[in-house]
Amino acid sequence: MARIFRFLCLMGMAVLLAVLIMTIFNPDEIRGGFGDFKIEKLKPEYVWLKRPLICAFLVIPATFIWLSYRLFSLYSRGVMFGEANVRYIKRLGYWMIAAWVISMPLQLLQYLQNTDTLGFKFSVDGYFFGGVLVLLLAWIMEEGRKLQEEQSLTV
Amino acid sequence: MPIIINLDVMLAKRKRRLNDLAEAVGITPQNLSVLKTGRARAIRFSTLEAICRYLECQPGDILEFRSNGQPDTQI
Repeated sequence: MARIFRFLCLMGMAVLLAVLIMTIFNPDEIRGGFGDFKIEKLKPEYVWLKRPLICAFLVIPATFIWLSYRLFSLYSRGVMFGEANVRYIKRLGYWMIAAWVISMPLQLLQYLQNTDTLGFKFSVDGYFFGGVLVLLLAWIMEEGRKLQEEQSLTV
Repeated sequence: MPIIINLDVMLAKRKRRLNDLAEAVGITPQNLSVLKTGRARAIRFSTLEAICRYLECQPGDILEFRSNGQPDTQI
């Protein structure tokens, strides 16, 4: 099972790499953005920002996929309750919460778009709750690690 | 750790080897090494009983309490 997820992470990294290559050679073909901000709706005077913005947007999913890949690599080797496992799960949780935190000021990017109205919204969405749940999972895994260590050192 | 394991001492007194003790007690030599080097967090009564039976000794011959900062007493 862990190997399947590890393979899926590799596929995800391949997709991100393809997007990165497309960004470098043909950024006009890229569609999408972050929240209400869309890359394809940039004002003409800000078109030069396409490449750096897309590269910046790719950092969060790339980090998330990389951490997941490292975690599933440990699971595929049979390491279930190791210190590294807990460390990666904690980082996943922190990155999810960071994505939620970053999404707030990123709404200011709407100024760069061809839009007559600007809307700001504050919402506690899936990234925040997901991050909190993942951190809770990290805490449970840490307790499991302590139990397993105690068990292995009981003669 | 305040609890000192004197397994080496008892093995030398009885002229027994660690591997033979491990086989007699029913645990791996690696597990016994964990006990010998003081890394063990706990010991089962069944294991302690098996060790004492094989080495013909008392639990107090294997386990010694030495409080930090206090010199050990010899009787």
